[in-house]
Amino acid sequence: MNKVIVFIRERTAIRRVPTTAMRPLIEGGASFAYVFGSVLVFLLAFEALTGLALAAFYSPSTTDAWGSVAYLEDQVAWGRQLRGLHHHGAGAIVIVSGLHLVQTAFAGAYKRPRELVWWLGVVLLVLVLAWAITGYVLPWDQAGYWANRVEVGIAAGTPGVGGGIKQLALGGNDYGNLTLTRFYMLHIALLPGLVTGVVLGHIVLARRHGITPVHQRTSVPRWPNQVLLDVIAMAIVFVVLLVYVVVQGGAGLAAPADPTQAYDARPLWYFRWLFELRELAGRGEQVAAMLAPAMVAGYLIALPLLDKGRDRSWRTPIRMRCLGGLAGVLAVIAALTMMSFSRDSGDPELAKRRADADRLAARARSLAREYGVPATGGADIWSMAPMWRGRMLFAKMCAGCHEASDAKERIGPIIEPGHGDRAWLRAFLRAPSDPQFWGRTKLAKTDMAMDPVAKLEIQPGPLEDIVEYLISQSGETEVDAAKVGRGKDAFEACSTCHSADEGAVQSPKDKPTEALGPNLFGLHSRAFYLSFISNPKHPIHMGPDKSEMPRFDGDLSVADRDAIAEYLVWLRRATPADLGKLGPL
Amino acid sequence: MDDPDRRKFLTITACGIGGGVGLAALTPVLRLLLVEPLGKTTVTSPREPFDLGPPEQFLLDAPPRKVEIVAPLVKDGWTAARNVLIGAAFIRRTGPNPGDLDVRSAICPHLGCAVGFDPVQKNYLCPCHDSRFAISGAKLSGPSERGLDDLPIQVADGRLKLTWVRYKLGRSTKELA
Repeated sequence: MNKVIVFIRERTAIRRVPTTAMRPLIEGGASFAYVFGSVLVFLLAFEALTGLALAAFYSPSTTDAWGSVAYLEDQVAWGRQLRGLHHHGAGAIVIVSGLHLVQTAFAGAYKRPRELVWWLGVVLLVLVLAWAITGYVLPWDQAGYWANRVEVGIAAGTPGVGGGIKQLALGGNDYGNLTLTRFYMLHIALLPGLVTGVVLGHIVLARRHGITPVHQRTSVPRWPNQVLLDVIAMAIVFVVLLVYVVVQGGAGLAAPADPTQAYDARPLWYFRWLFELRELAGRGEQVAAMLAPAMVAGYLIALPLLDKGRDRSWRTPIRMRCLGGLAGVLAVIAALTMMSFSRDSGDPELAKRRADADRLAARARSLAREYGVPATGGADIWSMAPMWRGRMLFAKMCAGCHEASDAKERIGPIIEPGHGDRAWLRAFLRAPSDPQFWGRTKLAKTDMAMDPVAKLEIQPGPLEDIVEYLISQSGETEVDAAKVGRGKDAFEACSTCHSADEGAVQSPKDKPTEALGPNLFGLHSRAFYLSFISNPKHPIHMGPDKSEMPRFDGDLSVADRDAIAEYLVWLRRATPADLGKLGPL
Repeated sequence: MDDPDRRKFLTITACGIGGGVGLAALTPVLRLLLVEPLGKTTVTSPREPFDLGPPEQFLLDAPPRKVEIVAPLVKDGWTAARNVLIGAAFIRRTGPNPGDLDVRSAICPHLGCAVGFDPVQKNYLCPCHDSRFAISGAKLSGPSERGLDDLPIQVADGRLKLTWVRYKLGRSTKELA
């Protein structure tokens, strides 16, 4: 072992680390008061490491960002915990930075000759907060997207240069792929580089001057006396962070960013005081949002200049005024933060909207887990639900007239699971003008209305055969061939009004241009539905004046009409439970 | 052993060449990071009016209806996508004629959040900073400087056409963004 050390020393010319740089002695003895800087270095390194692992899963584009984060959250072992540690680790950095600032301020560590150390610390605080902002938008979920929109909106309000700042932040004219690549670059390259440089400067200078003693005890070596306290503090912070992440269930992930969906955007908790300040400032909010942080930073920078005396005891009048000012600023920040959270928790409307947003997020994530995120992006995740397009279009275009509800608006027959199956056909043929079928149409009240089978004197046996024959029209394969054969003959009883021949238009013998009932060829098949939805008034279907249903070949593309047709075919074989299993739209 | 003039010359030359190389190396980086995005259209938005169907679908005395604006084609940097949801508008009938419609952008004029219709209070609420707008679009309370922006529409051949426009945020007057 010694040989190896000698070998390396000889070739690197490093004998030992220079004592002036290391400051091996802690003046006034080791103390827990000095651990905060070390804990911050630990947390920053921890953020770097967790960030490294996250970067191996994250994809910065509008189409992939949400999907890649949802994948990490829900499908990668330890992924949620890792992201939670990274997210809340940033919060821990803000807290420990605050403690570090308070400790050094009360110890008088900003005084000559340590002003530069203090100022670099203030710069670090600003950089760390900016770093958090660049990270929050990366998942491209509703929470990060809207928070970022507001933050960039505030910056864009800067007189004169606001527009330019906005374009630089977004990487162009609007939120898009280049926004994410830009924030990603800032988050994982530029800001880490800057922070590392400033941290090194901060530490090197701090070591040069040594700690600002708060005790009058005898000096002890840094190693191992102070280092032991440092690692104990690191362990405590890490355990607290870990427990917090487990209790919180990670960092959370809202539904994919949607520029049309209202969302109760809130900034990260350490910016809540500014959020509340804007709320209180009313019309002066733009000024408040820009001025307040500038004033706080300005006060911190001015502190060494305001309090120049040699005396580091906090009992002198100037020290008390300066530290009192600092305590006041921190108290106001804490009070504003609490006010913001209590305002939110006292708002029942907000709680309702939050619950809705949570449901949406859970739905999006379960779809992502089950079906994957479409290559067109997280915003299209909803389309992955089975029958989504058909169901969505049905809800939008058809439900008003066809959904089973007591609402007066329903005009057409109820369309629900089982529509067009054997039981449905049987019931329909027995009472076509029943309210659940055509009872609410104008046609039902005219003498053109369809006759029930009883009126045509069709007996239950032949009725079953006709039902089977009509089912066979839908393309259903599991049919009783014998029944179908008999049903075809029994269908003769219906032939005054109906044909089931391909393309034949049924017309009364004396008025060949006027159609009676619809042609039933392919009844309830996908092609039939597509044709019927396209133009129900076609002579092969209801004819020009018997149906109140509008034609949809103008407003819906053929793909959309077919999607509805596919859904209706699926619905025939579905039960209400099957429909429930598809989940909400 | 070293001539001071020679030293001075070497120093100036070294600083000059070094600084020049440094600047030259930095120029393309700054060009891409700081100049390229300015005034550049990275995300397209359609200028042609959207066909929203027959205007009769909006009924008198009905609450405003949220209509999603789906752009036929949006280019975002290197990607292109069809049928992209880019925004929403609230449409409300104000009179018996087909064109008697009040059309409001759902973008809050304050900082650009999406506004929702509150069916209980029968007005609009922006969830970000609690700006409220009357059903007419007029500003009621909150930090917004102006009411909800109306969007240009026209009714021709029995179809309602809407032009999607974005306005600058945080101003008391409507200016094209």
